[in-house]
Amino acid sequence: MQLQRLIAASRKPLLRSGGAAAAAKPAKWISTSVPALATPKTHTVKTVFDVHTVEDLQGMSAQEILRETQSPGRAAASMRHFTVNFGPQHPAAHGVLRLILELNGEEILRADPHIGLLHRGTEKLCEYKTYLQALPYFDRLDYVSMMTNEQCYSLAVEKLLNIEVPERAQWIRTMFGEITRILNHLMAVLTHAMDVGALTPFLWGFEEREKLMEFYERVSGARLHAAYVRPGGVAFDLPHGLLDDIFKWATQFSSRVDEIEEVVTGNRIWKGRTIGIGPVTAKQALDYGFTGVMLRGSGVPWDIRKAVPYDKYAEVDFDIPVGTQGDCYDRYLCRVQEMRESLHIIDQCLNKMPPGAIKVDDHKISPPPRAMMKESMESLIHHFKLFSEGYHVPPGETYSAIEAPKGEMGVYVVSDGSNRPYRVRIRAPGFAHLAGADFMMRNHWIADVVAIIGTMDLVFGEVDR
Amino acid sequence: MSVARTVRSFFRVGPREWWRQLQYIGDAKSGTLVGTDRFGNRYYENLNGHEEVPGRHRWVDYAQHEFNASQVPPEWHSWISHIRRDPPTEDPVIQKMTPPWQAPYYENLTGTRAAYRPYNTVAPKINAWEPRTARSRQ
Amino acid sequence: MQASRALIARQAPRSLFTNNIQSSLRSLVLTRRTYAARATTPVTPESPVTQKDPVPPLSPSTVRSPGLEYYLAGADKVPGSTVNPYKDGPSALDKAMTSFLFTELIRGMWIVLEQFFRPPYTIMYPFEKGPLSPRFRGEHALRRYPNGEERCIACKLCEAICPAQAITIESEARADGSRRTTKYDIDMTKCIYCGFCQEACPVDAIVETQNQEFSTETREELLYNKEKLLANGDRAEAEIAANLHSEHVYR
Repeated sequence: MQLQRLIAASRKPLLRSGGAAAAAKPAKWISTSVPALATPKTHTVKTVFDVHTVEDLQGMSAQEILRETQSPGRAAASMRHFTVNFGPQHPAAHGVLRLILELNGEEILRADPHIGLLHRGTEKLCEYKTYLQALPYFDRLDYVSMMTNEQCYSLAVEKLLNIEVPERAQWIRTMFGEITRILNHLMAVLTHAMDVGALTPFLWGFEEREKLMEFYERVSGARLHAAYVRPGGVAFDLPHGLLDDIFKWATQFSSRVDEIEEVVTGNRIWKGRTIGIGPVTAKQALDYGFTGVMLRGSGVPWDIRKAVPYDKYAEVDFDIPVGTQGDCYDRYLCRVQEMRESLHIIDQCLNKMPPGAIKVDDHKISPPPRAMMKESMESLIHHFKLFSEGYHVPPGETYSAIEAPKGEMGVYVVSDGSNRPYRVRIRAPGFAHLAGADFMMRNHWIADVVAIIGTMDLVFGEVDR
Repeated sequence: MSVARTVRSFFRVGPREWWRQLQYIGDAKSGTLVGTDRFGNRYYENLNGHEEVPGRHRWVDYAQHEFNASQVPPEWHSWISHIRRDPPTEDPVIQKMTPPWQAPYYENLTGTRAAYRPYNTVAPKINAWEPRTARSRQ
Repeated sequence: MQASRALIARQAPRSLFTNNIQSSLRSLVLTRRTYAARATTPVTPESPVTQKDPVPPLSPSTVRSPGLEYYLAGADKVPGSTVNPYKDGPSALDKAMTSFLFTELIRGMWIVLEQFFRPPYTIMYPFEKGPLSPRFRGEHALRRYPNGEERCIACKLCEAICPAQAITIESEARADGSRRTTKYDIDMTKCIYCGFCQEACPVDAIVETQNQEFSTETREELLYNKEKLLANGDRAEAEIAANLHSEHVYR
């Protein structure tokens, strides 16, 4: 396999394969071709190169339009770089990414990502909501891994409140965090495969995603925007029989991953499209603040679930896949292996799921059960206070980060002691990854752009927030 | 497998119904009739896992040519969406919970003249000044 | 399925669900040791799956930043530069056979062919529907008590909790002295279907029904008023009550 990787890399003369070479010879190819842009146009005869609109052509005869240009001639015309607007409506742009690509033929000289088309002002909106009301906004950040976003926010608020979540709630969060990871990686891997031409595994993956979203729906009532993980626990207990069904799903899911791997992993077309594409060295990954698979694919073993275990990750056993080459293929392998590891964690969660409470037993923070609310006056008062005013959080600030499927999802919450956060700053992994689009895409062919966008696993809900 | 299934349901439901199903559902299915609602939609079930994939084992045959999903009344909706196990004709909970004042169901009427139009349920807060002219006084 | 599963070289599964294909592990490294953010983090023992550990031995107390060693070491310490590409790979004959006989493509296409003979799992939507749970949050409805009296007491908790501020309520005392809403508007175009309103309601008046087929052709049809919401509840009361009945132990 290593030899194949070398062959695949050597087939692409423009690309400096692997991490080491790209780091050693930076930006060699850019400097030679750019100055052509700066040469002024000296010709005075009106030619088709002066034409910008159809209206400009109207006063010209057929000879003028078809005439060979005098100077600088065809040679200069071929030196012009072509600027292409990729997206925001391109189906391979994974949402509303707009890339300005400067091309030399089919070679990318510069990629300039433009963001903000999905900006909704989440951070500012959160400042005017109570802590509970701000929660549904976090679903909508990274809308393919919903519950991990909620988990991130809930952990931050719990840290400020200085409360400990019950055991069962922590296990439920861990299990649904891993279900979310599979949900996200299925989307990431298979849309990546679809972008480079493999449509079939995408459809298989969506069958599995459908089952996982049914689990979401059964536990929370919504297939995507769950609003399930709350500060202080989770919203509802698991419905009867859900764990059995997750078990049944998990027993067959491994063979689905096998099938996807059998079709994609060894495929020479897939290898040709991903090996050596979008190389990221460990230094580059650290410089640009990459996290998650983008960092691990480059060989840096960094996973917040291991480094700073939250919820129940300290008590489950799993491995972290780390790549060696830092190219799209390694990141693909990491994601597939992470799905298997997630399945392993789900297995342990199913076996270790304890009975007990699913919210903190403090009715100043989590609303009392409805039966209690309808009978006890004190609970009714708690209920009214919680759903109108919300709970007050002691003054303080915290940065709490979790290992979201895409990388380090962090939220920095400043509390001024009132019932609303003073400031909520969201650290989205995709934003940092998108910043690396330029150096990852340089000197690749234009067809590799979609492969690199796919491997960055962008979701614009979190990039634009 | 799919061919065998199509042929099997041809012999089960007869050529006329088979052809009708292919025209409407786009698939030939066969199962037991569970019930019929007041609009004439017929509800079927086939619990044999070898004949129908689990998840596709309940279906509705709409009475109208212009069918849409909202023609299923709520009680049958909870059956066909697999929320409840028993059909509403046999489900004691649904029957007990049905109040005498329950309104008759109608489908989503958007796009027709009977579609819902929002209106204010309280008196308007602002009363516009209507100038009185010599003509309006007459 | 069995044929293809037999083709896959696997390690002994670590758990019931996980079976690691050799192919994906070949260029990956599985590790349990990451850079520790806290010195107190326990390092779990190595698993038998671990082949090569790229983490240089380091004491957690000296590391302040993840990947600092790589960062300072420069390009020659770049991961991958130390890997011998000829060490663990297949033999030249294997590679030649794979390359000329398209074995990996044929294996992949065989899997695709197997799918052709499996029963289709496509749900033919308006005739068959995907499963929902009693917790599903769809179109809103206002409910009544079994005697026909409307439940809503205009406490405005739903208006207060609504994160999207989609609910507008006005209330007055009725002729019999009880306080009821005169205006209960939900802007369904603003609503984010988070379900907080039905959690907040102390009398189970506002609920989200399991109806999801309420799409409209115009935007104004989604500005629901009180009578529309009550009509929704009147039509679907049996379904709503049955769902609340089955969910009451969890709420």
